[in-house]
Amino acid sequence: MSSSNYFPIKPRGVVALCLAMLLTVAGPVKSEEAMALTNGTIGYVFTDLFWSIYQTPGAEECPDGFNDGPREQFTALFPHHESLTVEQTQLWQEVQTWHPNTEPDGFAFHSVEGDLSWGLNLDGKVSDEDFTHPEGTAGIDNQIYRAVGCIIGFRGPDGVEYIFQDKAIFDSIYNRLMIEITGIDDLENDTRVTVNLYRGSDRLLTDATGSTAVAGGTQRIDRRWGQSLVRQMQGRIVDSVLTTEPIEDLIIPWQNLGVPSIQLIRDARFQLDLSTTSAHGLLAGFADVDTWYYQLIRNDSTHHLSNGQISGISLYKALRLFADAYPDPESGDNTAISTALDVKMTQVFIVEPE
Amino acid sequence: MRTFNRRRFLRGTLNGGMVSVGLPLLNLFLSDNGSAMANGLPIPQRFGTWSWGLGMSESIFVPKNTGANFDLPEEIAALAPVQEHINLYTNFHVFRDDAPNLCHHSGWVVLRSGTAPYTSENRPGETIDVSIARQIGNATRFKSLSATATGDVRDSFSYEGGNSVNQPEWSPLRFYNRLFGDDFQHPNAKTFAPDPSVLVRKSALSAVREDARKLEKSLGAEDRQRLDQYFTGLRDLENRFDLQLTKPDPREACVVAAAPSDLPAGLDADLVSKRHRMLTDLMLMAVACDQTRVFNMFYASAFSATTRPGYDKPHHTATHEEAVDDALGYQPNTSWYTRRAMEEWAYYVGALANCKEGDGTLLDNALIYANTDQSFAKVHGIDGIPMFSAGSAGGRVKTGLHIDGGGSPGCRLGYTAQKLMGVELESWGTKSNTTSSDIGEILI
Repeated sequence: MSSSNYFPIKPRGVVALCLAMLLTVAGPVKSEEAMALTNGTIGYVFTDLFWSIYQTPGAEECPDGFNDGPREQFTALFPHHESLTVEQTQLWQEVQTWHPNTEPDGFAFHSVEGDLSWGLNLDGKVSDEDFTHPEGTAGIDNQIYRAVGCIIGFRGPDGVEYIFQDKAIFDSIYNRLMIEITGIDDLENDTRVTVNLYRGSDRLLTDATGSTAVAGGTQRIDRRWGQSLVRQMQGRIVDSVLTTEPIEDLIIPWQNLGVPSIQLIRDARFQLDLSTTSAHGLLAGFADVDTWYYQLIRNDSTHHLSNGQISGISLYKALRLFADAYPDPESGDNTAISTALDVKMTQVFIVEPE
Repeated sequence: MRTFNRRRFLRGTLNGGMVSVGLPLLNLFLSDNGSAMANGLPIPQRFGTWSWGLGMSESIFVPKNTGANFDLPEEIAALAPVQEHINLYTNFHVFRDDAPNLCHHSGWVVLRSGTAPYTSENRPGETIDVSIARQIGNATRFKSLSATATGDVRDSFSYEGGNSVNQPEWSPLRFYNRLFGDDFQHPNAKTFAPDPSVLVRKSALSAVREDARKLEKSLGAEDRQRLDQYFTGLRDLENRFDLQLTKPDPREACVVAAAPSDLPAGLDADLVSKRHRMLTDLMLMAVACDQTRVFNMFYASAFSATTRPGYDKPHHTATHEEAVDDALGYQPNTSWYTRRAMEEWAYYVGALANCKEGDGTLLDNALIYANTDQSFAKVHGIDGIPMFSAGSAGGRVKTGLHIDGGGSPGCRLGYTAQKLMGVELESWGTKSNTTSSDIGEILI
């Protein structure tokens, strides 16, 4: 599609023009950037959030190819399904999806075999199962990527999960997350800042397409239904990169295809490039395996899972296999799995509800 | 010498009631070139819509050239026989502003109503066919007609308001009976027998009006206003009765065929095609017989479940599940469904173009508006949703053109269509979809 040429003047150009006129007639005013950072505080609202997936053009990280989904597995399992009942076939698969276990299912699971991954070193160690960051940092913990990286539904640019995660943030309010950084002396370097995390209660301010959030919007904190989601963490800013200390847990209100659910991330922390108009980077930690899995299958019916060739039955086994933290006190099995999410935010003014 | 015009009636009485008998459409009433009435009134203009589901494969749908004699990429190659009669509009956008991108809903609702919906149940405003029918649909038996080839009565891109969807005819046999059943007055019949029951109803209505007029004298201003609204409704009803008591003008193209046999339910592409063509033929006959001047044809729904023999995924499922073929650059099975849709669009346009009327065809005196719900359905894209028009609207619209919208609002086509059909508009649409810019390239 050829690019739009209908609007000869960019909206931001209009803003700049108006500001220039104000300066002319009313003397110096606070710049747009200075307004975003007021009293040592700046807010950002999430606009993109998705599991960090390192992809090479030829999918070299998936030498065995991509995993099959429910339809392909159904065909393999029931070549003569016409003689079987629905209970013996489709519903059997549904039961397995909703009551998963770690027993082998007979299908070879294709996990990521590459060495590189986006993410953070969460435990400060370098071990065999860790990845290396494309920029060289060793010890990257991102076992979710190992599990889902060879499932096409999780890969860009058109995997079903990849597509819908953006859409839900723009289309819904239930999943409106935002951070407020306070105590800022300098947005480029500051040895100690405080980061508050809230749920907002307003739609995003967007351009006319509805697909691009613009800076300068206002979000009211959801103090009623979102109070249990409020978190606070400490951090520092070095060369405009905010790094926070991990907090015990972070609950992400997650929405996809109109179904609300949550993600539970333990030892959650941010690493974000900051500017006065946006922030982008990583949200990383250890995802609770069962919460992660049930978010997926609650949000996506078998139809949607099939769109991305996502077999919940096989994926659950992989998640449990690659889980690398928070062992169950009784069984010793790990209950959480390392992960990183790509996050993008747009500057927003955060206010208390009336 | 007595002066005649098309509105002149022979009057008489029947069973004590007045009967108006319209004069036939004699050459006397036509201009020298047969393209307009002698009194300057144009041959009745018609407005139609057509819709297909799930967009396009851009790389093989959008022509490389704009203007006349544009190339026909493989996904629209079926349009070659009707290319001279259509315009293709690409790179026109729908804008959501702060509304969500509702899968398979936002796109068509914006294009048809000018406003982005906030929920999947939300149908803001009214669709353009309704606005146009209010302008040109009052002189026919049906203000508008809708039909769907899906066999599903829920499939309609036409609504009066949020809770008032214009339900389509979904069965060829039911449609035939509705059009040409007991109430049908054949415009070319030699004799005309007004329905006595209509006379009785009109007579009763007149009596009611007379009583109401007497009552009006004793009412206050507010009640008189209410009564005036009541009278307006009565006048509409009377007009309808008048139409039924008036011998319709002869229509050269009106030939009522025998009742069709009905089709089984199902969404196999061949069956949908057969149903589409039967309903199209019936619809065009209804238009040719001047039963309506506004008509909507629905080929496939936004969640189209049309199936392809030998392929396990229905259309909508295929759009999401089928991978883009690296070598081809598109989804081959999904494209197959779109190609079938284009074949049906070509059939629809061709049927209108082959229907003789005066010295031209029905299509010469019509404007058809066609759209879909998505651009690239796999990702629920709504930027650059393709649209078509067909017909020259009485010689006022150029055809055979490919127009690149340059990212401007897709509502410009709906705005242009409404203006052409006589709807008085300063602008149309809401928020960023608002436009007062017609598509001048197509206007003569």
